Amino acid sequence: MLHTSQSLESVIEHLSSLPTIGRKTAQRIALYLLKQPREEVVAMARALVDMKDKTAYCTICQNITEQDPCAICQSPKRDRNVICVVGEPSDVLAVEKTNDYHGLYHVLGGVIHPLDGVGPDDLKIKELLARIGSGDQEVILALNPNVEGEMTTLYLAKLLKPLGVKVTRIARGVPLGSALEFVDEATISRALEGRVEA
Amino acid sequence: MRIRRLTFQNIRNHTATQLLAADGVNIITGMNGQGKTSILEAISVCTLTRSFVGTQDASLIRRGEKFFESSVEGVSDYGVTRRFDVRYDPNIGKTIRLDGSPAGNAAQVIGAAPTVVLSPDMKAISGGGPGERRRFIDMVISQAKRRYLEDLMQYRRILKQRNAVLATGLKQRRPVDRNLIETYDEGLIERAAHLMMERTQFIEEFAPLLAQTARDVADGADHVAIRYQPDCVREPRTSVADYRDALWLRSKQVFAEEQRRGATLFGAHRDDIRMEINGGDVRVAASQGQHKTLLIGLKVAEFHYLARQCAETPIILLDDIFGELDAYRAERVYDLTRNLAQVFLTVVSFDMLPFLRGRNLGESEANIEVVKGGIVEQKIPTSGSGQIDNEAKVYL
Repeated sequence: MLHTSQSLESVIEHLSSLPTIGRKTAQRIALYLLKQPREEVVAMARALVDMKDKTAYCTICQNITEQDPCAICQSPKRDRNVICVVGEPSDVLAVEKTNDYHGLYHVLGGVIHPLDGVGPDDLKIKELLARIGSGDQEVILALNPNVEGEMTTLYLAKLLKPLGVKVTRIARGVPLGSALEFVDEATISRALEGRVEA
Repeated sequence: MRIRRLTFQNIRNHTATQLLAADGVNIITGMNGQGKTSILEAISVCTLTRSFVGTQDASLIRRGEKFFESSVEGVSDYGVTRRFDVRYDPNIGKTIRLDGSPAGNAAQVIGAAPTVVLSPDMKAISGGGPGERRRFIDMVISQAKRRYLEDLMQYRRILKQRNAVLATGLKQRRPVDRNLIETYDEGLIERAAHLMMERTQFIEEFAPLLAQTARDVADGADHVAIRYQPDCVREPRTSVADYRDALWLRSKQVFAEEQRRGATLFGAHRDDIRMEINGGDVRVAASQGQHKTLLIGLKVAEFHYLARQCAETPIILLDDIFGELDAYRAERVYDLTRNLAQVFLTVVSFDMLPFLRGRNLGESEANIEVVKGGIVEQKIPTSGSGQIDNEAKVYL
């Protein structure tokens, strides 16, 4: 034991098990918490437990929610014919921030990654297919532009297209605010492939 | 490209080493195990983003240390200053910077300072299996064409994932998801077709260069030819679409066998590059001596190819090759490379370079003596000095 208090040591242990938090940072956070008023610390502890107790996955879109179906799936303002497929709940937040998308979501809970033992059955793909009905639907595949994201996109397109639904994928290209001369060739050649009429 | 300054920390037995390079030949001397090759590896870490020895990054770290880093400052053919920084820490990964700005991946740096490495282990290019020859051409083309390296890295990744699907199916004794395999086929074949077309074009340009350089090195005695033997087709094709079609056809034919074996049985990772000497397969027809001269021919041809493709003179690293060559060939190699580019060579002592006896080190030549992971003496001669004696340790 490095500290003179078993309880402090225990908090440091827990904090340093969090992603991106090392032992030093954990120590700093623990000592900071120790200086806070008791109510503050109790509120934080309660918030953690509440989060664990109250959240569940939305039975429709598989996003994290406290009410089932989730607020987005229930909202009458949303276009029910468009489903944006993303990998993780954090991706929903990223798309929501744009304020430009008014359809529904579907959270896969990851991407296909056989090397890590993640196959199609480990993702919420059946649930996605179950959401495809008759009528004029569009599924937008918005997965990360790496090899795994691309393979998952191809796989989903293969399953979705025979169902008669319109399947699109988000464009890949030059980031806004960057200069062409600093963008790598692979991105530029993808951007050229995906060019649109001016 | 000419390297001006090399600085590195914690690579093999070096703690912190800095050297100023001469524009011509940099002769690195020292006994075995002192850290001569590590200097070449430090250069390779910067310009090729990894050691040419083919070891894991972690094994380069000096024992007891937590990271290594290496920096090269140089001047391009156009007189522009370039800077390469690579730092590796197993906990953080590899950080690569080009001219001070972070580079997203290796592909953005490789090729900026083309580098030709010649080490005796590389005799496996002509003497070893197909994998050795693929590795050779992959390294050359990657330096010349960034898209090739991107495709290659993605190809390897998809191949691993596809193999994992097949292996899992085999282990669990159930048929693999047909849609999933076809998804990987699509990804794999698209890259493979581009890689194979690039390899086709590369061999077309490289073959005449090699025929010429092999003749030069062997004084016209040997006729050397190199031919591309792509997987799935008997002869190289002339378009990406042709390769794509052939790969699709083969993927269907081998699928049943792939399921039995749990591995991918078609694609760019099964290509071979056939090399011939005087009409026979080099692997059986070439003598030990011919493998040596062939390697030099390959590397000089690589130099010319890269110089043309990259519009930048490559740096030449010669690792311990002079012990392998007879005095006549050693002198040929020395003079040939000296006139082409900036050279870094390692040698146990000047005894291995008998042809330098009585010669003055030129203005653009330097001797760097290495002992126990440090440079004990560095001599960049000014004109008229630096006469080399018959003794090895001239500067000690």
